[in-house]
Amino acid sequence: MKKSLAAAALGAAVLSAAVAAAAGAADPGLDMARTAQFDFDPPKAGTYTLPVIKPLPDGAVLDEDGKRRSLRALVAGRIALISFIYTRCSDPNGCPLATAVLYDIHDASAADRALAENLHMVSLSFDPAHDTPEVMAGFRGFDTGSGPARSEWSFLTTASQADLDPILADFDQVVRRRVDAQGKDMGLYAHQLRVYLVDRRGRVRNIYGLGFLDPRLLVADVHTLLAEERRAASQ
Amino acid sequence: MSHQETPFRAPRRLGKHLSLTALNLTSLGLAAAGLVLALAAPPAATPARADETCQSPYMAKITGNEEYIYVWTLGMEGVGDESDKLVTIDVRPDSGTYGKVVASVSVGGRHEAHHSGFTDDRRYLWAGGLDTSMIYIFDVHTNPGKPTLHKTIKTFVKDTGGAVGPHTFYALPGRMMITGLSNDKDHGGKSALVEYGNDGAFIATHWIPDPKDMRGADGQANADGYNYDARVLPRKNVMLSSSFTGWSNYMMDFGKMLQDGEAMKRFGKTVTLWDLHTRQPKQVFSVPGAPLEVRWAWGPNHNYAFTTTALTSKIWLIKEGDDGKWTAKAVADIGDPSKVPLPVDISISADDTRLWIDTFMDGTARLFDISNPEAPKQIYQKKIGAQLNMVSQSWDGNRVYFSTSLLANWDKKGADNEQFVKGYDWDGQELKHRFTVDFIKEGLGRAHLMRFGASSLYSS
Repeated sequence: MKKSLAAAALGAAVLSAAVAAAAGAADPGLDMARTAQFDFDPPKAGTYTLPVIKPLPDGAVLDEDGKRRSLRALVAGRIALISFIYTRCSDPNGCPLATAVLYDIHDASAADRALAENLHMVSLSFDPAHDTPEVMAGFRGFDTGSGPARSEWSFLTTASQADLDPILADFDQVVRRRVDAQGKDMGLYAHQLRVYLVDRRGRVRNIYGLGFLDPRLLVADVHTLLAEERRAASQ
Repeated sequence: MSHQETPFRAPRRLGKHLSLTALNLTSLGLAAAGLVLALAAPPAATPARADETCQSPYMAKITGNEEYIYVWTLGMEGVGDESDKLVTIDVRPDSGTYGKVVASVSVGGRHEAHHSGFTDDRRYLWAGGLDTSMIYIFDVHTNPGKPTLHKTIKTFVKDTGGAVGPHTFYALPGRMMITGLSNDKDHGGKSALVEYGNDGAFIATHWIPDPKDMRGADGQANADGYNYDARVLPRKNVMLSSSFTGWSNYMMDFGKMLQDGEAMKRFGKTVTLWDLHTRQPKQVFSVPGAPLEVRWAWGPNHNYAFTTTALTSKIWLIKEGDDGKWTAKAVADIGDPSKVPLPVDISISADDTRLWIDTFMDGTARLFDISNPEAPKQIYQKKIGAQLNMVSQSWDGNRVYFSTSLLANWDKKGADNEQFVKGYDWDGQELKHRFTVDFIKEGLGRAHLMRFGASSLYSS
């Protein structure tokens, strides 16, 4: 009897998580309040579709241990959010904004099992000369081994500019090194802020920039892809 | 601060995230110091100072004086090579060729060149042909003073499932939102919003709600399925689309059309409110008389947009009320509506206090005080030429540019068919003429949409 009660309780918990996941907007871990920049209630997950934009580009990246990996293989089998950054970014509307949004989602995943299990976030540097694997590991800024399960978050870089350039080109990610009036490298980049949503089949399904980087929208989109998978599986 | 320059939004639980490693704190420290650097030499996502006021908020912005005007120009029989072309005018104040044409790239043939728009990274300018549905993508970053043809999309109708006449090109992150004006079934006004990736690959078609397929939107009694312009207000997650007329009308001789009672019934009478993120239409408003250009106000709490109706000569306000509901209402006449001055392009000032409105028939630029959006008042007017269509102003409002062509078959005939781009300074009281480029004498054609370029966008 105890076993069946436990099983029932577990089933209810799973069902509850599934319902919360399906609802998306009801995820307990995500702050759903409106802000001055996002003064609207987000759409309910699963009530809209996300068109396929293009295949996920691939390329050789380095993980935090310095191991050479295929970007596409690294995120294969899960939904991914891929953000291009550099750790020295000084533009408050640039990389710090994108990373802050991913932090929000990472936090939310602690209370959202579907996010924790199905979402893989990637912060990929476009400044390989400075952002070594060691720097990216330090940039992580949180302990991966404690607390509730959360979405995996990889902090990647590349071995060289030669490895990076085709990745940027394929993603259509504009990055320009900034120099001062004397032509001296400022250690800064002008760049188009982009975060890419990739489905489990390796297809880009949304692209976010300024004005769209509302964690509520990104989480709703992830849950919309999960709802799409459930529909496809039931057919 | 406008919605164009989204301020830094701290993470919702920033304090928690600040318990980071020493390296990360160092990085944040650098970021704080970097703010000074950013002010001294703004990167891409910083406030604009001199850009156009009708561009997508997702686009890289010119932070100094515009340097070039890119004019999407209709080829004209008996003029030059008679082909559509992108014409570049130098407007660098200290240039020896200020106010002169410095480049022209012809696309071959006449396609009813109309509007154009930059990608969000502003490296490419997309320009459409309303007749043939061709889309030409120009590289404007490699040499901003001499654009080149980069790519051509010839499959718009097939890609979209029957949309015809790519009109507005509006940048969204990594993609282009395009409005179609017509369709390949009856060449009427039913059409769609269309998305392409920046790489030129088709993404999706979103048909405008009509009475037979409202796609979940309210306002069935108003709906007509027509389309024209599209503009977004991301802060409220909304988009507006307006409505004009289909291929069978915009390719017809203007005088003949005016005499055709059935044709005159085939004009748009709607503005549609969309959920921007989901691309789902929410509400169709009745806005009779062919509402054309849509311009959102810029103020951080200004939840409203303007449009003007070509046939009924009115300014319409689409606004969110205190109850969160959106409404549309006519708030002012433009000239004497009984004389059909035909208001065409509009341009809103960055401070939301002024609205330029061109009226085609009398060739006049009219300035309205829109400080009270519920009651716009005309405060100035100046005749620019025999006919007048497009207007673009700099972000600071100090420079205003005008062009002439409406549609090849709607432009005036004979001596009244003036084709030019004129540049003016605006001192708050008077338009002061700076230059004229006569597009017929220069062998170019009919001057239509103007977009600003600058080499500063692509250098440090």
